[in-house]
Amino acid sequence: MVNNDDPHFTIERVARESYGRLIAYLASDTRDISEAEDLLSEAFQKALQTWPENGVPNHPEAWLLKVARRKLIDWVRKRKMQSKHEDTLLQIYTSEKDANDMTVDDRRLGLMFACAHPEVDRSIHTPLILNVILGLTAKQIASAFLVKPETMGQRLSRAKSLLKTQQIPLEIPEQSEFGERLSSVVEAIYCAFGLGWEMVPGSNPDSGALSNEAFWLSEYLARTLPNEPETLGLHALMLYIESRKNSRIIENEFIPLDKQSPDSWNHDFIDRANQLLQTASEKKQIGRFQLEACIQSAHCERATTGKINWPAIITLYQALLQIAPSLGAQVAYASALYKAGQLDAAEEALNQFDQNSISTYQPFWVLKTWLHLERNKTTEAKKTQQIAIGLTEDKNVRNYLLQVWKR
Amino acid sequence: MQYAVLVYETETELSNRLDPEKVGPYMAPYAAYWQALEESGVAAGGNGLEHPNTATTLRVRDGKREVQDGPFADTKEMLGGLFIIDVETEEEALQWAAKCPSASTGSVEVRPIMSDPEPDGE
Repeated sequence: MVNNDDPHFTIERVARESYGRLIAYLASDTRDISEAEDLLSEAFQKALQTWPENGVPNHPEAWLLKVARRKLIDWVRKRKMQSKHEDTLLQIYTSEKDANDMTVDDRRLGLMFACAHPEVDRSIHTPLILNVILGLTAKQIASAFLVKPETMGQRLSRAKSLLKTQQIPLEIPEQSEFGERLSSVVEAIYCAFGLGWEMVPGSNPDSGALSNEAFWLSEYLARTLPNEPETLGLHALMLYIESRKNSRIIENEFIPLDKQSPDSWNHDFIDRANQLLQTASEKKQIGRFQLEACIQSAHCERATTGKINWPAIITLYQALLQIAPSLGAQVAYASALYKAGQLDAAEEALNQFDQNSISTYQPFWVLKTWLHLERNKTTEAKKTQQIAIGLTEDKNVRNYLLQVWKR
Repeated sequence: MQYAVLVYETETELSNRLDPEKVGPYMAPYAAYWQALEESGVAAGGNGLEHPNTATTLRVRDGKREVQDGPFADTKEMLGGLFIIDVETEEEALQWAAKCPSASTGSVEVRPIMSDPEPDGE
């Protein structure tokens, strides 16, 4: 039985829900994320010591923040050299001004922008956001990225160090940079969602189960920046995909999208996504994620129309490839052409690639196999089917492919 | 850089090898995996090992020989084979390891292969 007054339960709850908010607040003051993490960790420890005796405070978040700030004052005073910034900080902290602040300001958005800063290596944007805003550990993140946990820990440390030494402001950027910087944030969140799972069969959708975290982040972003069409597009995209989450694997059997039963989709999510897209379209600023969301919307329309509108999907992919060409989009486009019966165009679309870029891209080989089979090129199909299966990480999808291509 | 991808399998999985009905479907994913490794140019060797019950373990201590039936350790998952791959980064090695069929049912260990020491090394 969980008791809401139980200090350990509360600490856990506060930790989970408020971690990012508290870190963001502290980090924006200390300008040093690693230090903020240490301060917060000490504050949590103090809570574990004192709350069981004294009871849980009415405003646990504010309490933790106060303790962390007091600790920072100690540390700063003990430091031999103090920067001007630290002097200012000391003044603010030791004044009574914030003593009665019960709610902790939300500075997470600024922190997210810093995590996706151009000076930070692109490959660490997503891990940094997951670690700093959501408190995920290096090990959890490493698992999802298929990186050695030790390596991930080192990369995260280095990135935080960089943010500190380069004095990168942990703030929402100026208007002039905003658009581009926002793209980086949106892409970083999308990356967490798609990790290993490129929304096509072949990879394991449970890769670290980070899709929940990414989902939360996209919802947060859409909520805090409701006038930005791409944030709405991103969240809509995730809603569409999440709506079909439980339909993909049923009793260890993989069910491809066009064979899924629309009844099993989450229609509440689909409705919300439709609304978001509608709102986004009113800004008349098309972008990558709105287009991706529209494509998924077209797939979900099968619930009402009973069929998939391939011509519309093809047009959407053409638009997407104009503004955000990618391996995934190009292969998905080729796949749409194939499904629409345009074999020549599909083959043409697949010929765009050089051997290097597609050699480990499972969806390419899956499509290649289907195309060979359509042309009755059985020898070629046998070869490409082996490669496709060999590149498949998800056991259920592997079994599906072994079945569906059995001679 | 070369990495060994060590295939560790559960008893259930290994037992498929001994069943004429099951051995085909059991081996198929491994054959496909090997094809994919070859096609992408990273395959540098490897072999399947016969069932652990064909193994013999040997020790020599102070001139005394000790021979035991069975593999080195009787653990939940046992070594069933290995792949050697040649890739640019450790991440690439891990990505390939994740696709190994035993990753889904057992475990896969990835370890760098020792490179030759420097000629005048200390």
